[in-house]
Amino acid sequence: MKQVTSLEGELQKYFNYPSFRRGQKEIITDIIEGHDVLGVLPTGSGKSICYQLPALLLDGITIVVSPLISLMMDQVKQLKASHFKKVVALNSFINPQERKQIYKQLHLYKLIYISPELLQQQEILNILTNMKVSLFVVDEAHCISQWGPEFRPDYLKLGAIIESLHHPRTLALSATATPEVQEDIVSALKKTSMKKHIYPMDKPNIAFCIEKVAGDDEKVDRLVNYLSDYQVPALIYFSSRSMAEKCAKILSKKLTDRRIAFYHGGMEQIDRVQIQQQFMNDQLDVICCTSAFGMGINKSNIRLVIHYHLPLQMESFIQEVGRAGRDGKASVSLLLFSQQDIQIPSNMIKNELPSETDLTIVFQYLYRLGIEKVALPDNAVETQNLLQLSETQWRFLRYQFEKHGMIRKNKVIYHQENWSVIFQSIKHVIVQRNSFKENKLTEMINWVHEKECLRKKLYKNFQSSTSGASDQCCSNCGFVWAKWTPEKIKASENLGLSWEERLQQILLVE
Amino acid sequence: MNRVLASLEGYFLKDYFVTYKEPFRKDMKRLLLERILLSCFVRINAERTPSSIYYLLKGKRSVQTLQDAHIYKLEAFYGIYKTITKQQFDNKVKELINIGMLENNLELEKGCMVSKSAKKWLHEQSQLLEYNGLKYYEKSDVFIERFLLLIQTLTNTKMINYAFIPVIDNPKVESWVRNIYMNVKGRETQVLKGIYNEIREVLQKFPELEASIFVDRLTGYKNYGLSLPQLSEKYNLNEHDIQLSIVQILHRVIWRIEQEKQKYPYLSSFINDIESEIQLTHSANETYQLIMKGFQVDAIAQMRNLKKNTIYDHIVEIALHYGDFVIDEYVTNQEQQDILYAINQTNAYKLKDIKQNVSDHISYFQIRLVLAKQNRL
Ligand SMILES: Nc1ncnc2c1ncn2[C@@H]1O[C@H](COP(=O)(O)OP(=O)(O)O)[C@@H](O)[C@H]1O
Ligand SMILES: [Zn+2]
Repeated sequence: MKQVTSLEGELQKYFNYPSFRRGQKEIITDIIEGHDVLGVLPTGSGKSICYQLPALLLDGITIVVSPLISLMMDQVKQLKASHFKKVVALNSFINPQERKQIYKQLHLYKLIYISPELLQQQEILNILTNMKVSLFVVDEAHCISQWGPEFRPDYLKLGAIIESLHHPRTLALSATATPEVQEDIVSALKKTSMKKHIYPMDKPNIAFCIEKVAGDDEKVDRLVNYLSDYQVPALIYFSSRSMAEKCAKILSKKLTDRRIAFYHGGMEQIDRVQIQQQFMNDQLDVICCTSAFGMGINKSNIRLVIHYHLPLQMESFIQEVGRAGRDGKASVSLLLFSQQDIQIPSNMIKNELPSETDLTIVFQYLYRLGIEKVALPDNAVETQNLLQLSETQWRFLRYQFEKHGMIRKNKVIYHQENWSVIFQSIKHVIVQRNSFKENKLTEMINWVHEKECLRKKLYKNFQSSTSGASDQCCSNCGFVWAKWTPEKIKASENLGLSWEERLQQILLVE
Repeated sequence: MNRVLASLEGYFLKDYFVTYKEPFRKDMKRLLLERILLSCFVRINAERTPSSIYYLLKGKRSVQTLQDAHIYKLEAFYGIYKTITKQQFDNKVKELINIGMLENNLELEKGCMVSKSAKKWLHEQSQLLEYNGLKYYEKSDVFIERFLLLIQTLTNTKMINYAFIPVIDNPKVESWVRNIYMNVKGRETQVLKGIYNEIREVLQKFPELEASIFVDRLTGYKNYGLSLPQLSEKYNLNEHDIQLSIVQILHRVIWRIEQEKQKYPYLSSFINDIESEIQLTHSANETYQLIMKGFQVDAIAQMRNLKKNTIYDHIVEIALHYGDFVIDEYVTNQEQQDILYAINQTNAYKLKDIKQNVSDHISYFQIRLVLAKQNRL
């Protein structure tokens, strides 16, 4: 380890920040001293610094496991953009040839982001085992817990992986972990002596509004109203890609002087970057998006976060709302609720894991492969298409099959008696998980119908007390739109220029 | 959920969607996909299934697709719409059938004929379809990715901003741009001016609309380009039209540059190092090397642990690729004459028809090989 004179000095040197934010220094100090750490800090508080700085200060490599491809890419790009060049992201989107190339030069990197799926592969694990891993980071650590908002089976294997890497010190980070989930994280990682750093996640500058409406027409009307009253950076969350697209179209037609676009995970890379950056750059006022938007987005002046659809659980809601008002100025969260909305999330829950019919079909398919001694296709997409399963459904099933020894590598191992027991057990897991999520949804719905202070109720499972509102509190404590007067953003100027003039402007030609 | 969405769908469609009720009114500007599809269907003349056109547009690297491109003289459209999905393609074909532009008396998976009215409509279109797919399908991607990233890089570094999120995420392009950047560091103003002069001159030769779309796609310092849906909204064109317009501009731009390299030194440097020719697939190339060493098909199949048919596929691919590849070893001169005669007789390129018109001992492989050879001439 390098001689550390002052952590502040290092922070200034590498990241050009004058001081630490709340929690960062405490966590980093513990890491440098060799402790395992669990950090729960709200979104936007600067969790990444908690491992990026140690990565630079410690001798060996730092591995960051992150479940979100787009998030990984964003962080790597941001780091590269800010001169932290010894960083690489490994995931299954990189083609095998390129990956091989990167593997050969892995020792050149200080910070390696990797997806949990890839980390299961023996090839990379062998390479990593022979390197000096000085810090192992589990980002979005709540994914470990089946009581967390997005359970990822691959995450359960991280405990074993940490073991095979000879127990490097471990940092688990999350923005959303109830005490229940925190316990799960600690036990799944088998790190009982983790030092906990838990920070409150409530945002005093955000006012919470719920408006109950009759249906979609009225939702659109409200959107039009508020967006024409306020020209501020705004996000509108939808639960489906097509609705985000359609609504963006409607709003653009109705609000011709607002710049509105949509964003979701199904768009091309270049389009995603352009939309995201236009928004960052105040070239756009409003983005209609799915939950894919916002990971790793650091825009400080988002004033209004609207939920067009009900989120599936409080955790996601808190995360998404947390993107508003990072600069501390008064901002608003608005949830539009209509009675029919309850159908959408409960269907989404049903579709997330395979149904019993799906399960039967998959078992029959595996049975055939087992009997005929045919291996599963290497390409997961092939299997998904064949069995008409979503990526999540197949990932879930595969994990279960491996766990029960029904498949090993790509080979199916048939065993008549065991299989019927396993079938029941998987079915049971699905039922349990679905009812768990139904409960989460009920919690969310109950909150919508809450009579008392929304702010207090929203955070009550996460922290013992909230610090109260710095501006207006919530629609139950009394919220008046007219009292909210955020600063207008400036509209852009280059309207009406010819393409030659625009070209000249873009290429900075005088 | 379905109910809510369905009711909304109606709402949206009624009020806001431009639907093509009268799909081919004269004043509709583009409809590039429709025109391209119909042109392909005309050429193919129901001898292939619609899917073959899908693969053509996607630029599938299969011998069959390449051979089709040559046989039906559809090289121009090869690989010009790589992002189209099978579903989008099928929907469009269905739509063309529904409105009577295409006729399929058989099932959809067989061929389709273009209706008289559609042919007439095609003829009435005055704007050119200018693509050069087989030659530029790869080059145009490389060109635009390098162009976008270099402009973004130079405008940012000119403004002393080294922290920006690149719009192109492709290590090869990144390293190309890095190299250029190292060479021109400090001279950004001059280089940007040079690129500006050249690209402006080239774009001026094309329709206003295309030039404008091209410029809107560019990203500079604190000035991000438009996404495809945004372009589609701004120009009131559907997304197919936008994508195909962009490809068309790129093919035109590259063509211009290649015509007068000396006149466009900056722009030429974006593509100087790129092969235009399609490369043999790796596997076919291995087969080729073995053939050149004098091995027979059986031996090669055994050595490479592949099916004989796969080796035959390779040989067809090789014949398509190398115009001077001698096929006499696989089809005798007499057999070649027979096959050519049958092609003339049936006046079609349907393998089955040709097969029925030659003696039984002639195989599909031999027919395909002769076709491959024929279309190289
Ligand atoms: N000590 C600090 N001083 C100033 N800015 C910081 C500091 N730490 C982090 N940031 C910035 O805060 C933003 C949010 O950081 P990030 O790590 O993405 O948050 P999180 O992962 O907790 O949501 C980033 O733009 C980051 O550069
Ligand atoms: Zn309140």
